[in-house]
This record gives sequence, structure tokens and C-alpha cells, in this order.
Amino acid sequence: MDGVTELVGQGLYMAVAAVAGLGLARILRTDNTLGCLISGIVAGMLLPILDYDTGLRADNLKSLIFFVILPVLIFDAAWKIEPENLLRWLGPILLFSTVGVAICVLLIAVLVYYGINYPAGFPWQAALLTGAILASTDPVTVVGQLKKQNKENEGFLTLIKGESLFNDAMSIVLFTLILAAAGESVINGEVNGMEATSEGLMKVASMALYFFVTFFGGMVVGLIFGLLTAIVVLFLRSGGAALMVLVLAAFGSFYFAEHVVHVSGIIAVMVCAIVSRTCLREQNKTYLSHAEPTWEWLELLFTALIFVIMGFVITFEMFTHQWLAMLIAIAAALGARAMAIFMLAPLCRFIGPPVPPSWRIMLSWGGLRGAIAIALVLSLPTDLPYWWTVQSMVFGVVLFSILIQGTSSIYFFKKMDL
Amino acid sequence: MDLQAIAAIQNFSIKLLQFFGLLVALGLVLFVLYIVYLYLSDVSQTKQAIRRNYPVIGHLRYKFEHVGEFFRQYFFALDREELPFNRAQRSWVYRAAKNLDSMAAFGSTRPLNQPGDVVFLNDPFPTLSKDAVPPQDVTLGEGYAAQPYTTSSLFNISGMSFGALSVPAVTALSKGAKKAGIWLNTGEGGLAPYHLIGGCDLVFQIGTAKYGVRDLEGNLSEDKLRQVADRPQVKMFEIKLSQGAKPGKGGILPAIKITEEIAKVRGIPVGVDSISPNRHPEFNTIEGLLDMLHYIREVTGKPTGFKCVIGNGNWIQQMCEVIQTRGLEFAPDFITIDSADGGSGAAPASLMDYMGLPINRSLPLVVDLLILNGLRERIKVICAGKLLTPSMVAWALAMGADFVNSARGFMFALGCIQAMQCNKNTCPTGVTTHNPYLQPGLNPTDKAERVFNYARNLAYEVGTIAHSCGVLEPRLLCREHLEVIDERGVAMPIREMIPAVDKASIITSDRNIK
Repeated sequence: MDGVTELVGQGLYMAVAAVAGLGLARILRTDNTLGCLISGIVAGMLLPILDYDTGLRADNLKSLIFFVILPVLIFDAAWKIEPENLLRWLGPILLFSTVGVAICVLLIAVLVYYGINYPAGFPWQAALLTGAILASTDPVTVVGQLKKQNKENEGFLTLIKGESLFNDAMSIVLFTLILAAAGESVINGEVNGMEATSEGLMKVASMALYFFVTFFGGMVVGLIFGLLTAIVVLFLRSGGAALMVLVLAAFGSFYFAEHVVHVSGIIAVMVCAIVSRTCLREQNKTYLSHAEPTWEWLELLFTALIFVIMGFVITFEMFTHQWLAMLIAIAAALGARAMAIFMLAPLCRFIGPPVPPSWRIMLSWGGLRGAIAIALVLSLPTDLPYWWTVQSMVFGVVLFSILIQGTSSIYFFKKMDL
Repeated sequence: MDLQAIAAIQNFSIKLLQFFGLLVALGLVLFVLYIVYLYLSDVSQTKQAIRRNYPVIGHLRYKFEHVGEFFRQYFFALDREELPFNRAQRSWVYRAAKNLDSMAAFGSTRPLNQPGDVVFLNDPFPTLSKDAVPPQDVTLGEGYAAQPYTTSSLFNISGMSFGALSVPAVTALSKGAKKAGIWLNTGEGGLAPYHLIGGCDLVFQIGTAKYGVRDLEGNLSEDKLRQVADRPQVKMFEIKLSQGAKPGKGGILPAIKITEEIAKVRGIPVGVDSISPNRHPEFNTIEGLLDMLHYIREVTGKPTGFKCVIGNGNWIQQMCEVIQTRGLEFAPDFITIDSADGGSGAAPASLMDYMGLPINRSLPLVVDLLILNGLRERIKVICAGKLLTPSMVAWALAMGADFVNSARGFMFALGCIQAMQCNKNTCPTGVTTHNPYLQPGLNPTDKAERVFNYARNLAYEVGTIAHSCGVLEPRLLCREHLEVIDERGVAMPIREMIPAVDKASIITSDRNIK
């Protein structure tokens, strides 16, 4: 069998598992994510019986996730937000996604680090990585439920969607940054990066510069790609071509930023989506009338795939060996999120529309961890000694999110008055 | 300095230069891309012809059109050019409200030859300051209402509902009115705690939706009416038949302006446009109106009248005749005549622009009909409609009004800049917005002082006009003191346009026989 056929077969195997998962979700009347997770577990168990290989390896999973799955998820999330609403709520969103994410990351890191209290096996880098991964949020469940109950409060939807988009972008940038630092420290032997030596200071300074360049470089690439996308769509003047260009823009902006310019691809994708959406707002009814369903199925497919892969990877031993770490992570994630929201929400009125108290509860309890968190943790290189612990913790939090937060938030929202 | 440092500085500056060069190049690329995008988006859109035919450059038209609105006001519009209120009128109010000097020099900027303009006729022997007397008291509802209302104030605050106006605006009006000794009309939005806060006299307006005195079905509730009447501050009741902005259409409070508090005061749901019926559903005849007035006066014990925009004057004549036959106790204690050119309210432009008679026609019409029917003493006349400068108030008094009301004059005193966004909740001065970020612009204590200053200075200057005309106080002004400029630009006595009327003897004798 040649490589391409094999690749097609492997892709199809996962896609079938994803479809089976959607069917399962329909039968069990649960969330799609849960269905896909179960079907992923089953598909994973079937693998040895069928004697089939998915071709997924720790070393290619990261590229797959970063270059294929994340661009689509981020572009879709950015595309779904009305530019006008985004502008209105930009103040609170930026506050939550910068200061809020920073609080979240640090708080989770501190809680997890001291909760586990095993510096040799679980150093600061691991704790910070966990924090960065768990700072991302997933609004899909909440948005879906609000739509089901016809409580589509424009402001709240924009806030939760925009906040989680920017959160995700931020946490992915932080994740790559910490990962780079962590990888370096692994190679250089056990060096404590937090030491207040001049070398440490230099390192922090160069990290900050690196962060700055990555971040703003990503924005510039996104800006240029967004404008280019709009130009090409307007020039081609056809619905099919427009969709093609949009999907290409999602992958292309990420690839170009990450692989050619070496700046943050995620920021580039996000900015590209926002800019092109803004520029093309007059074409919503013409060339872009089918953009929404296109992004819907792409998002559905890739979210399903992520959960299927999670099903492949998740093992029973995670729960028997790491249950305490999971519980610590769940508590830390919930607490940090609530803390960040409740600390910052009162400040929102100074930089934009105020966030009422009922929204604060919904933002903190409805801040589920979903596809992005799994994607990030799956992309952890296995040469890090603590990857398994981090993965178990994140899986634990995501499972808790889906099973407890997701289902209970329905009752929450029914009572809440938006 | 050692070479190393110089080299480092050189190195740094080159890097900086490179960075700036990069920034400029980047900016240029983005600019070019943006222009290309603009061109393509203009060419491919179908909504705006100018953009399609003149891509990129066509945008300038929309930008200029938008900016022009502001520039015209500040740079190009002449003092007496703007509408509804020109800068000269507004400046007078602002200066009066701030208690600044209202003198002008080097002659009038008013053209003085425009048809319809009014001039007062001065007396060779004006009233000496020491002979001048304060405005005389007028009593409304004397002998017919259980608690008649006596006041000497000439110039009062016209109806603006709580809901149309913000909390600080109503608070400032209430406090300012108390200090100036004038009354505040609540408007149709019910009685809010902010109306009561200053302790001024209040006129409670009953709109077509009966806000504030309605039961659950929206009908007039006698209990609630009594509750309102029990407040000693509420001096009179006014049934609103129509308002200047939209004769024939009910009040409109856009959903964006309905906060929970307003909804509570009015007794309506939050988040839905609050649209009043376009007339009182209870009556559709003159008899019905008079019955309603009588009923409210009986329940409340306070003078009761109605407010309307005059259209066809026949019905006023008919009303007078009905009153003659049914008895004076059925007469309204006052009629508030609203000019037809609109106020702060949200209204369709065609009703605002074309519907109803303006005050310079309707005021003499009503006054003359009342004189003709011998009801002038029984029914007091209050008028409103762009009467916010002393000369206009003096004109109205001379034409026969007992009181003059103004809404927008007091809005200017509160800091209104005529941004004309009253219905959008975006009032930049906090007068008509419930946006908590815009409201702090209006400090109730500070503006209450301005409301007081405005009312006092206006009354003072009306007095000055009266004294120049040789009468002791403003209410003694009469039509003989006025001339109107005709179409040839020559001032003519007003009597030549509106002949004097007197009590029609036939009707009087009829009543005497009875």
C-alpha cells in the first residue's frame, strides 16, 4: 500500500469514528463531544482487534493539531462573531483575555504546583503548562444551550464567544512560549529558570521580547492575510471560490506565520478571520451566503476528531494512578476561572459595557474546557518527563467540564435571567 | 568615550533605523492593500451608487456629509440660521441659565424685516423701576375645584415625562422649579420620586396610556388617581389630548430608554417600546371630554384642564357652547395650547413638520373664542411651543395667555446642546439618556441652580419688556403693544390681522334669560 492510500484510510477510520460518535450522542441524548469521546475509546479498543494502525504518533500529533485542526477551530470561532458586537465588547474581552488569562495561568500553576507538591517530578514548567492549557475555554456547549432555550442575548453571546476566542489565542501563545522554555531547560539539564541571577533576568527579557515579536508579528501577518483574503474574494466574485479562499486563508495564514515568518500562527489566523469578516461584511448575502454552514461542518468535524483522538489516548490507568492530580486540577481550574472573572468583571464598566452579576456566574461556571485544551495537551511532546501527569489532569478537567459543568449549566441558564 | 560604547550606540541606532524602516514599509503595504480592498468592495457592492461608480474616492462624500453636520454648526451656520433653535436663542438661554450678562452691543442681528416677526411698541414714558409691581396672582379653578391653585409665576416647565428625561434631569428641574417658585409638569410618564424631590408645585399629566394612574388593564384607576391627588405638591391635573410633536399619535418611549425604574413608575414591561394609544379610548366627543374633566376634578379636588394642539378651531367653539348649556362646573379650569412644531419627543417627521396649527395662530384663536363665549375668566390659557426667550414669552402674554410653558428652554438650561438625539438614549449631555456613562455629565445640584437662574432672568426680562411698553407688570401686556411685520416688511398693528372680539351678546342674553 502506498502512503497516500494509507493516509486516506487512516483519516477515514477516524472520520467514521467521529460520525459514529455523533450518532451515539443522538441516541444517548448527550453532547456531541461526549459521544465522540466514547466512540473514540471504542475505536481505540478495536484497533488491536482489527490489527490496524491509525498512524497517529506522539511526534506527528503536534503538527497535525497545530497546522490542521487549530487553524480551523480558531478561524471558525473568530468568523462567528459579528464585528460590530466584537468592537462593542472589545474592552471587557481584552481585559479577560489578557489580565484574566494571566491570573488564570498563574493561579492554576500555583495551586497545581503546591497541590501536587513534588518538585522533582512536577516542576514549575509543568505547572505553568497546565495553567496555560486550562486557561483556554470552549463556549460551544453554552452557546448551543442558550440557543436551544431561545435566550439569545446578543451581548452575552458576543462576550462569551469573543472572550473564549481571545482566551484560546492567548493560552496557545503562552503554551508555545512555556513549552519552548521547558524544552530548553530539559535539554540543558535541570536549571531552575526562576533563579534571580542576571542570566535569569536576561532570559526573562529575551522571553518578553520573543513574546512581543511573536504576538505583534502574528497580528501583522493576520492583517495582511485578512486584507488579501478580502481582496481575492472580491476579485473572484463567486460563492464557491470565496469559500475556497476562506478555508485556504485559515490554513495559509497559520502556515505562513508559523512556518515562514516564525511568529504566532494562532494570532495570525484570528486576526485574519476578524479582518476578512469585517472587510467582507457587505457580501454576507452574496458570495458568503454559504460561509456559515461551511464553517459549521468544518468545526463539527474537527471538534469531533479531537475528541475521538482523546478517546484513543485516554486510558484507564490515568484515573487509577492520577485521580488525585485530576481532582486538584479540577479544583484549581474552577477556582482560578471564577477568581479571574469575579476580580475583573467589576472593572469592565470602566472600559466598556458593564457585566452584570448573573453573567459573571455564567461566565465562570460556563467556562468549559474543550477542544482547544485537548488539542494543546495532545500536542505535548512525550520527551517531557511530566507529560503524562499533565495530560491526565487536563483530561480530567475536560471530562468534568463535559459531564458536570455542561449538563448542570442547563439548569443554571434556565433560572438565570439574561 | 571608548570605542566600544560608540560602536554599541551605532549598532543600536542602525537597528532602530531598520525597525522604523520596516514599520514604514509595513504601513505602506497595508495601505496599498487597504486601497485595493476598498476599490474592490466598492465596485462589488450594490447598495450605494456613488461608491459603485466612483470607487474609493466616493467614500469622501459620506465622510464629508457626516463631518459637515458638526462643522456647519460651529463654523458656517450664522447666529440666526439654525432650527429648531438658532444660536442667538440658545445663547440667550445659556447665558441666562449661567446668570451671565445678557447685554449685546452694536445693534441687533435680527433682520427686523421678516414677515411675521413681532415688534413691541414702546411707551414714551416707561414704567419706573420703583413703580413696577410683581406679576399678579392668577387662581385656577376658583369656585369649582375643592383646592384651587394660585400662583404668580409666568413661565413654567412644560410636560416632559420621566423616561423621556433622565433621573438627574428631573431632579434638577424639580429643585430648580422649587427655588424659582414655578410649577413642573410631570409629562405623561407618571409621578416619579424625582419629581417630588425638590418640593416644587407639580402638574400631573394624564396621558392616553394613563401611565402612573393605570390599573392592570391600562384603564384609569380611581384609587391611584386619589393617591396622586393626596400629595399636597400635586396642584393640578392635565389630560393630554395631543402633543406638539405628534398630534394624532400617542407618546412613544423607545424600548432602549425603558429601564426597570421607569417601567415601575409607569406600570409597563421592560424592553418593549412603550406606545400610548393615539387618543383616550374612554371618550370621543366633547361631552365625553368634559365628563372626564369633571370626574377627575371631583375625584382629586384639584383644578383640571387639558392640553392639546389646536387643529380645526370649530370644536373649541362647540365646546364653549356645550359648556354654556351644561354649566360652568363642566368647563376645564385651563387649556394648555401646544404649538405644532414638536418638542423633545420622538415623532414621525411628517407629523412634526406639518400637523396642527403653530402657536401664533392657535393662541389668538382660542383666546378670542373664549372671549367671544364669555369664558375667558373661567378658563385660563397656558401656551407652549418654542417660547423660550423673553420676547416670545412677552408676546404670548400680550396675545392673551395667562401662563407660558417651555420644555426645551429648560432643557437648554440643563445643558442641552441640541444634538437632537432625545429618542436614541445617546444624549451627549445626559438630559434624555439613561446610559449611566452619559448621565454624570448632568450634575443635579449645579443644574438646579441654572434652572432657577433661567426662570428668574427670563421673568425679569419679560418684566423689562412690559415696563418699556409702559405697563406695570407683564400680565398687563395686551395686543395693542404689538405690531407684526407684514409681507412688505412693514410693521402693522396686530389688530389689522386679528380683529378685536367681544363677548357675543346673543349667547350672554340667552344665559341671562335662563
